[in-house]
Amino acid sequence: MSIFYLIYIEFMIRINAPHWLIFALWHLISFIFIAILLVITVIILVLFERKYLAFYTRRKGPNRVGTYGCLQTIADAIKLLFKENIEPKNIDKMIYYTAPLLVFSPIMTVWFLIPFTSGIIPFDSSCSLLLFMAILSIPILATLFAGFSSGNKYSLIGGLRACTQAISSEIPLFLCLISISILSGSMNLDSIVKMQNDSIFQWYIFPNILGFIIFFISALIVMNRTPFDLPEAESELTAGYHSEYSGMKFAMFFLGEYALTFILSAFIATLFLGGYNSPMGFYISDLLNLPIIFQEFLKNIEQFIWLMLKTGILILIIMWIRASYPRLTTEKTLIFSWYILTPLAIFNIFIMAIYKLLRSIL
Amino acid sequence: MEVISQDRILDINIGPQHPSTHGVLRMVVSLCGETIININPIIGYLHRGLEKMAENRTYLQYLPIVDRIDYLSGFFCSYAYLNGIEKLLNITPSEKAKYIRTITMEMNRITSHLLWLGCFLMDLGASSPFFYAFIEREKIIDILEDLTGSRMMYNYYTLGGVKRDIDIDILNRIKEFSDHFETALKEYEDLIEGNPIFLSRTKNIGLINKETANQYSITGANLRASGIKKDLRKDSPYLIYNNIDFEVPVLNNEDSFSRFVIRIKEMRESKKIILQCYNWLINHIKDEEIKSNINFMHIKPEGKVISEVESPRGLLQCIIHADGTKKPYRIKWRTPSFYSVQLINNLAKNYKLPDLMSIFGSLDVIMPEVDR
Amino acid sequence: MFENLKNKFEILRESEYQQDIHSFYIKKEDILNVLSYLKNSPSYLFERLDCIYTVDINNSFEVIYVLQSDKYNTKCTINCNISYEEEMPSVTSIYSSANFDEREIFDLFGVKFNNHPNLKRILLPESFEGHPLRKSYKMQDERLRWNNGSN
Repeated sequence: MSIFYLIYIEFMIRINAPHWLIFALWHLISFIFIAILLVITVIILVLFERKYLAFYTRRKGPNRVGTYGCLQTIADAIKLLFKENIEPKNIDKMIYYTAPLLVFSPIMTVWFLIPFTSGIIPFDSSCSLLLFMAILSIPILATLFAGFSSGNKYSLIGGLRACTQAISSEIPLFLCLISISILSGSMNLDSIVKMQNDSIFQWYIFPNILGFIIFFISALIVMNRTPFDLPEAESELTAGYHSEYSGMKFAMFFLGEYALTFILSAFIATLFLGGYNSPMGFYISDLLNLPIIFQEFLKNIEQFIWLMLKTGILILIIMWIRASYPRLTTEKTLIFSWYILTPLAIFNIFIMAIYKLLRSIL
Repeated sequence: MEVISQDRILDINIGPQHPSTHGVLRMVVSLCGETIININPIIGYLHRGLEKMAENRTYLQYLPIVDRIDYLSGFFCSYAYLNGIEKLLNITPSEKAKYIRTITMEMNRITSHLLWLGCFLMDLGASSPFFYAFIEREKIIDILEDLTGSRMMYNYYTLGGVKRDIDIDILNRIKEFSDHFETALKEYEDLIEGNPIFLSRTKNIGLINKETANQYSITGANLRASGIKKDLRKDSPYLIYNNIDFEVPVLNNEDSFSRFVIRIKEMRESKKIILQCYNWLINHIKDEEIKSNINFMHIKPEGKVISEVESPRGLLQCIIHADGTKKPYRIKWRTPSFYSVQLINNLAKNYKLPDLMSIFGSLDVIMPEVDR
Repeated sequence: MFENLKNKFEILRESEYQQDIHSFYIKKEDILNVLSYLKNSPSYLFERLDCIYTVDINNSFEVIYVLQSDKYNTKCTINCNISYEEEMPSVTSIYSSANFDEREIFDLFGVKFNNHPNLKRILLPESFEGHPLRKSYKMQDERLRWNNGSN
């Protein structure tokens, strides 16, 4: 158990807190911490993407609110918060209002599964990969809900596209997770990360490069990013499944989309790029002569920075793709994921199993 | 084809306010799944009655309105109109005026093609090429602004020539631009032409064969992409095009991709024409005569004339019936986009919805020209 | 060049545009035959119909077909004089591009075309009254009248 938890328990016992409170409060604190972290990351991410795309297209990007436009996303968020709640006439109210909630909350839940540092693992489960698969399917339901309940034909087509596309891409995505758990022999994310800790060559990207590529592409499809942003293809469907949502409801979809981008990138980093492990094989904080508690604290920060760096590089690649590629058509996306990605992912499982067998023999 | 029952068909209304209809075209699209069964294009949302307006105005008063027929290539419309009047009055513009008209029209052709390029790629979902195209377009528009005083609605030509003389500074800027333009074109080709997604979305899609092209009176780059070598600048040269060395690119593939390639090549040819005009103008910078001395206010032409010009979108005709009064009796504009819109049902039928944008975008339709 | 045409069909009158474009006035009954002859006959091959337009002149309509031949690189126009009430045969069966052209003429002049696949208003809304390009058309709104001085 992490050192923070031990300190926390020590403290709570000293002040004679009841047992249920100790347990409940710990989860509450980590929930608040992680949720705030997610919102902040998304806000930074949105601004970063705009600046980055502006850099690609030789523009300045947002530069009015705050220095170099650093407060732009916050201003946008405030504007969205104060917008009038517009309710179209022919909607299915219940489903219409459920959809924005349904898109954000599962993404938040998945966020809890990631081991941020060796000390901060908000939800450490022995089958977190399984949970990941299960929960990640829920946001797709939300897009379908939004498409069907809006009473708009563009939304309907967008929702249908999102659904077909998600089904076709989740299968290769999950097959890649199986190849990871074959390699690690575990479904616990923390132990998967710990198995990659010795050096950069321990990272699972090296035996499983094919799995990495398949996972990355299928993740792009799940995230609805270019070139697979068909459900909200602007030139065909105006805004796709969230055409009829405004104000905060729209913000939920928007935030959910960026949060999903971030979380899936963090997952790729965790599964294939060694997670929070330092690529150098040692931590700078280990070299310093400090009291154990400070050292542990610094190490955690260092690990967190490594994870964020790896995630950031993946996000850069995703945005780079967005800046340079046109959009595929629905038909071709489906053909691509059913005929190319899925068979390759199954083939990859065999390769990984043989690799694992050979390694245990030799 | 199998008959599809009515309850499986979804009618959706694309436009008149829609990101990819290039203005205010409305298309009622019948879909079965995502397959297009039928498209019914509905136009008229930008109808300004330009032909009726002509009957209430004198020839001079109508001149500034003419630019608005096609706001992306205003020079071509005003040339077609003025050329008609000049023919009726037997005025021949001076040689320098002809060169200035040619150089401005070719620059206008490049801006029009660049805007098309950006919008076409935007329709396909790529965002960056739009900005890259606009960076180059901005340079030309800045030059034209300094020359004519306006960025889009130039109103620069006048009877027997142009309103203001071109000076050495502007000529040097034109030269500078055309020297640099090749690198920009290379950049577009590198970014777009080799892109597998772009190829998969444009190759073998939206085929126009020769018979259909003739049947539907398609002209311009769309016609040349179907393998018919037809360019007014070569076939019946106007202005100074017979003194100029340029080629008319023709491709036989008939698809969206070849229409893209043709336009890129056309920009290259335009650049060549601009450079040749520059070389002539720089040697004749001292020539004074740029317009005729006839007072535009009081002309009373008589007769009828078909004045033609090869605009960026195809054959633009201005037909003038003059009855010897101050005002035109009847003016008819034959605009190329009007005929391209008709074709959309033939082209996009049985393709998927995303292909509609790739086909429609490649035709280079502009709505003010369709509705007039 | 147009000897064959003159021998084969009755030409009522001939006139010329400014730049040697011949125009032939024919009877409206002949229009389909003339156009299909001009399109298919190897000595003309007017494969494209550039446009159709109408002029309201001398209390009648003049419907004008502008034809283009790529092979011989020439143009000619075929004109038909009809009275205000008369109907024209549609040429969409010969040139598909005539579809929108005829709808436009129907819209702005009120000339009816027989056998047209979809003869509806095209530029103006369905509810619009009158046909604005007729010389007899008076603008309903006083504010829209502009520059109504003498010629």
